[in-house]
Amino acid sequence: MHGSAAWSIALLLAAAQPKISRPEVLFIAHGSLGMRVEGKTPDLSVTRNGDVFEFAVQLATLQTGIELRDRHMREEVLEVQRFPVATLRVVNATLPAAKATGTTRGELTVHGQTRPVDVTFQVAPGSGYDVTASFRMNLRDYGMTAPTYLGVSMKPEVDVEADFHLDPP
Amino acid sequence: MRILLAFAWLAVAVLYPRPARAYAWMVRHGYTTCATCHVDPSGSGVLTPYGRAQGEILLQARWGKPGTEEASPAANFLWNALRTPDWLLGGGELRYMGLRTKIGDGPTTGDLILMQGDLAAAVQVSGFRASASLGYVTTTGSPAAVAGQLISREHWVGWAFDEGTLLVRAGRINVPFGIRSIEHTLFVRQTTRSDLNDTQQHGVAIAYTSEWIRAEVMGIAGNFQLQPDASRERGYSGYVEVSPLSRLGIGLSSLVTHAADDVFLRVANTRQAHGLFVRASPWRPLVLLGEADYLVQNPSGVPTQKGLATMLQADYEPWQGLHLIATGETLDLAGSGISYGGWLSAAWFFAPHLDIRADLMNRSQIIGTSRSAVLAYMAQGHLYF
Repeated sequence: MHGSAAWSIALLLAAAQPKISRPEVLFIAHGSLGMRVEGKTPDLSVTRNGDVFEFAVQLATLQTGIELRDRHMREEVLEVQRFPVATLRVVNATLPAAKATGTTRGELTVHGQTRPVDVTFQVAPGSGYDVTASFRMNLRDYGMTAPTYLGVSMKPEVDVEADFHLDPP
Repeated sequence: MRILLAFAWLAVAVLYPRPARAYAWMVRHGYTTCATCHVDPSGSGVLTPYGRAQGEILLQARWGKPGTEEASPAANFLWNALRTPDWLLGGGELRYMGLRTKIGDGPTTGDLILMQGDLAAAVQVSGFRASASLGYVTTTGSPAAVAGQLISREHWVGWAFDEGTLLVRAGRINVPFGIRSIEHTLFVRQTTRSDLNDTQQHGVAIAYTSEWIRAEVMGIAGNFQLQPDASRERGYSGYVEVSPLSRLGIGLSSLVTHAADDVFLRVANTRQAHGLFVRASPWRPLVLLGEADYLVQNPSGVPTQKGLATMLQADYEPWQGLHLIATGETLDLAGSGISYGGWLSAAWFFAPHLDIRADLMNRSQIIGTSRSAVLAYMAQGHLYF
């Protein structure tokens, strides 16, 4: 009986959580000699607790288009074995009735460390919400080192963008 | 007669193609700039350590090796047989070609050509940069000759600022114009005299490389390996390419030169070329390269010649290391009719530092006042150290 109630509560919570479709999370890293590295993943999820939204990305699914570079990124920069998920927590988030743009403060947790970030967003209601958001992070703030490979150095500043549709509840 | 000579020069260029190495289709991997892989920020020539690694990671057939594997030591200079200090980058290339050509109703002729037998080296110490090549060709009279059959295609010194964002250099430099491609006998390369074979010029160049823009402009002082001085062209050449997306580059090129005694026309001549080029990879296995150049020549005593040279190339890489290439090109010069050509090519980077290539080229070309069919079969083996 106790287990059944727990399952029921879990199912109710799951049903109440927003769903994301067409997600794409993109990071753009900048390097010396005009180097630009773009990594993408569709593996974005969201949980909602009142006016708190928490977005989560499975970092092991990030792909830059070159497998060896992905391996370096996962093993030497993100250390995904130890820190598999990056989360962005946004409090006081309300879903607008009309198209809205702005900047909000979020808490980004990467590599086991949490720092505030300013997130620029656009939310367009329709059947659900079309959301785009972006922010810039500094790898050093999260205890990571910008990689250097055979003389080509990446800068610690990384731009992150997310584009997804938040399905109607 | 002089115009005939100019056209004949184009035909000769078909018969005697020469070497090059620059792979503009690396844009499929998001490499819109060249400076990460080459000491020359506009591409070609001595490879950086990063470029050498990519030669194995991205260029060469993997033969079942996982893509997450590091480049092997064999990717290094001379297959790692000779280690150089970090500041010294070695290089060199050997390219040999078997060629069969048929022009018009003439007989099919065959030739074996040493396209390239070059040693090269580059120095990078702090901001100091230098690069030079020394090679051998089987013929005399090359515009790149320093003595007899000994040639030097490039030799320059320079200084890089801001970690290589800006490079100022002087010496014999590949003319910065259009797409720096391996097919140096394309109309767009021949007519603009901006191939990698032997049309380098001495001068001073400033190159800029950033994430969104790469550019180089060169003040051309003339090819000092060419005699007499009257044959040397002076002027400028340059390009700017913008990359709004990671696998797209859109560029503009411009060139104006003057020679008191044009090496082909044997009269004073002012040449202009202004063009557009595009490198795009809409789908990773496919790269489209396009270029269109408006041409103007003002030979002394002859009416101004205007024309257009174009090229469109599709490079399809179904498996890493294998490239199937289709190229179309046109040339309309002096209103004498449109020459057009098509290439079907296959290149296979099958082993460390080694590739082979086969080309079938078919041109309908205006030579003099008449149209001729030019058919060429080429098979090449290429090795770089």
